[in-house]
Amino acid sequence: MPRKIFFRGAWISRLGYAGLEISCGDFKLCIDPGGAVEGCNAILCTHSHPRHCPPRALQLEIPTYSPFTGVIIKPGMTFKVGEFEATAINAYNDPEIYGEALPHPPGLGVGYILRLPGGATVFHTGDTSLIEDHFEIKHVDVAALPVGGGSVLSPEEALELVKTVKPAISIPIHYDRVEQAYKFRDLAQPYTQVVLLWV
Amino acid sequence: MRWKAVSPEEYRKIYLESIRDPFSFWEREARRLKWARVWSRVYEGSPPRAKWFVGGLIDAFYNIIGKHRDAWVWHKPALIYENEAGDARVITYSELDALTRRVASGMKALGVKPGDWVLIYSQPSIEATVAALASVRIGAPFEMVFTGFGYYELAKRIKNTKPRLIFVSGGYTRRGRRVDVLSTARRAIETARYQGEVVVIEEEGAPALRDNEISFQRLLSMSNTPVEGFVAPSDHPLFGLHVAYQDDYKLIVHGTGGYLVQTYSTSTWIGIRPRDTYFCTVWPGWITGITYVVFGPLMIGATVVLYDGGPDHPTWDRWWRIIEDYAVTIFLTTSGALHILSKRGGDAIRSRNVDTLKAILVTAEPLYPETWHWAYTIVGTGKTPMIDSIPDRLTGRIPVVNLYIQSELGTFVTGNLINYTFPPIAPGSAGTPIPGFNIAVVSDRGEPVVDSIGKLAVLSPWPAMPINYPLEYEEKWRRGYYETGDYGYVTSDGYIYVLGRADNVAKVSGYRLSPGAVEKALAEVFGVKARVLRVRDEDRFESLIIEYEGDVEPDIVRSFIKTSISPIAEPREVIKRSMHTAHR
Repeated sequence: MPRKIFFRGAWISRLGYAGLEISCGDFKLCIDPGGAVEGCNAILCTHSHPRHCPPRALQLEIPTYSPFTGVIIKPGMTFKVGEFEATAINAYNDPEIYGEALPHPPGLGVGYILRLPGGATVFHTGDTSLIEDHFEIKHVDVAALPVGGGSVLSPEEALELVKTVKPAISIPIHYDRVEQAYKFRDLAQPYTQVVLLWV
Repeated sequence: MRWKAVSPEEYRKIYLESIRDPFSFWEREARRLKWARVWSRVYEGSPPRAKWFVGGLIDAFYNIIGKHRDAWVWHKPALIYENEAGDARVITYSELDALTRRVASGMKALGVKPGDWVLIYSQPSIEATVAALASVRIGAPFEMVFTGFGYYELAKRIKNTKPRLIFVSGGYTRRGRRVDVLSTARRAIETARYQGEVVVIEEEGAPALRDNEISFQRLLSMSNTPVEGFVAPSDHPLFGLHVAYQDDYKLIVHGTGGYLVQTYSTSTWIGIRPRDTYFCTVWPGWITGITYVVFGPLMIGATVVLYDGGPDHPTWDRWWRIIEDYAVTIFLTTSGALHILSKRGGDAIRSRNVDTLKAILVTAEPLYPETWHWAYTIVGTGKTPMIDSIPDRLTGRIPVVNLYIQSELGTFVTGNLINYTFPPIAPGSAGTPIPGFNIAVVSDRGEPVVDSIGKLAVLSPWPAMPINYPLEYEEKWRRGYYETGDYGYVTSDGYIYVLGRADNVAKVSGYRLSPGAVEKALAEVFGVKARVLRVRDEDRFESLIIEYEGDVEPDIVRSFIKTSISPIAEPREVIKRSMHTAHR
């Protein structure tokens, strides 16, 4: 039932399949909005896949930060978006598992760790496997975690990430069957406050 | 003994040992809290005039919130509030601490001192909880008044407690309609001729503030002067509640030390742990909603979910959705609510996934066995039990536990304890007496009886005994033990069945109502002579019928009761009798 949560001065809601909308005051930051870019004051794209940031849907008058268009972002970069501070981190599938046919090869996409004006940190992993970079993240307040498995984290892998970054709140995203969200919720509940946000 | 069943023999051994010397038992429990100064005597006096942990000094706020500062709990959600529209707000323990300190500073700037009363008239909300905790921090006893009470009852409470400050909700939405709490409060304040300040917890759509009203946001900025946590003598007033007695609602007050000891222990015993997400549907304003929302789960470090909308809005699965969406592990509701859910929303549960649930706790009324069975087999699907409710049959996954509580007792005093003594469940019973509470059923001559209906009694003092109380409470001790006012039945193996009130106090939908208060109100407002009768009700346990003689129409009487006293007290029937047919 909850469509949005208010945490430390920011309203957080899901946008489409794998996106997040974060509003602080009048400023709305959209991460992977899919085609729903109306009203966004700035857009962060993790990568260009259709359900995330299809290039044709991006309107150039909305400041866009991504690995492929607008302000080009690479892992390790820290930059300001309005009063938000964003750090891009790696997001890719593990070549050892996928071999050559990587849906998300290194360099295609990024994840973001945001520091909000109210002080909270929000982590959007992007489309990724569980990678070494994740274990260097000390702590985030809110984590938006893909749990659909396949070329993104499975519920079990998302749990490992939860145990590492210890978010106060975890929001499952990027799943085709709601059972995947339930599974993540059931596994992760002791370690984080899971909130199922509905689109 | 945690999360595993015990045999009846094991339970009896532990229980009998605890009541053999309840003072030593509770002294050990008291050491689980942090005391600024340990007591010199565990207990002194003679009930009802008794004191616990005499000489002890305790910082209540520290034991609720402050103690979590250096622990992992500090950064986890303390409160999650969801409104009926589905918007949620989350506040961590560190934020709750910071916000409470700011509110306490503002309250102090308004002149609130230790011992001053604070009244809170609000639906469950983060701000209402903060107002209560800020009062605790200052050492100001508070009363939270159920917003289901109308202006007439609120005015009574204002007149009785003479608060230094009143917090009022601007309003909220329930079942799709706006509830204008502020307007009701204003009428009560005028009726009571209250002259002090009112802090309004703003809501969209609330009326503009008046001269004596301050917004909650403004209160936050009134002062930066830190307020140290009040270190209270054990018998310092912590909070109060107006409780229904036969002829009216009367104030009982709980002291700090004994009440917190009992609350912390029972909260851990019923299964709440720091990693739990806990949802209680009982609103503050009733003892369960205070002990097991404002105090107990926060003392433990759990995450508490608050919801102020209707259980059936937009559909009857709303509570199950909350459980599903917030990974709720412990769910506490009333037997009556569970009964209604089973009948009106029985299928709604099937569309939701409540697999995170580990326990369903119910209270407030007798639990019908068939309701227990529905909850045990339909809500708690699956075959692997969290804890063996019925050891010889592996059925049901989630224990459904009925517990008995009363405002005067402060906490649950009977019930199978998931995290302590959990003998087999007897569906329909209120479980076995909780260790430390000497519970019995007594005959009219005052002798304990078994397998026979009598009056439910508490034979030994308990730590949360009220420190201030009306004559009615004092009279319940006239035989040297405490008569709860309920009929009961205890089986030979120790299971308590609560059968209903032995006096004329009503239990409607789990709420304890005073028929005399209704009669008095009708006399005062309309000049009518009324008699309020209690009748059995399939859904509400009891409902009220009003007979009266006087010069006012029944629909006006009904409307007054519903809007000015409480919608819960709305009678099933209102009968106007002529002077010749009405009789007492």
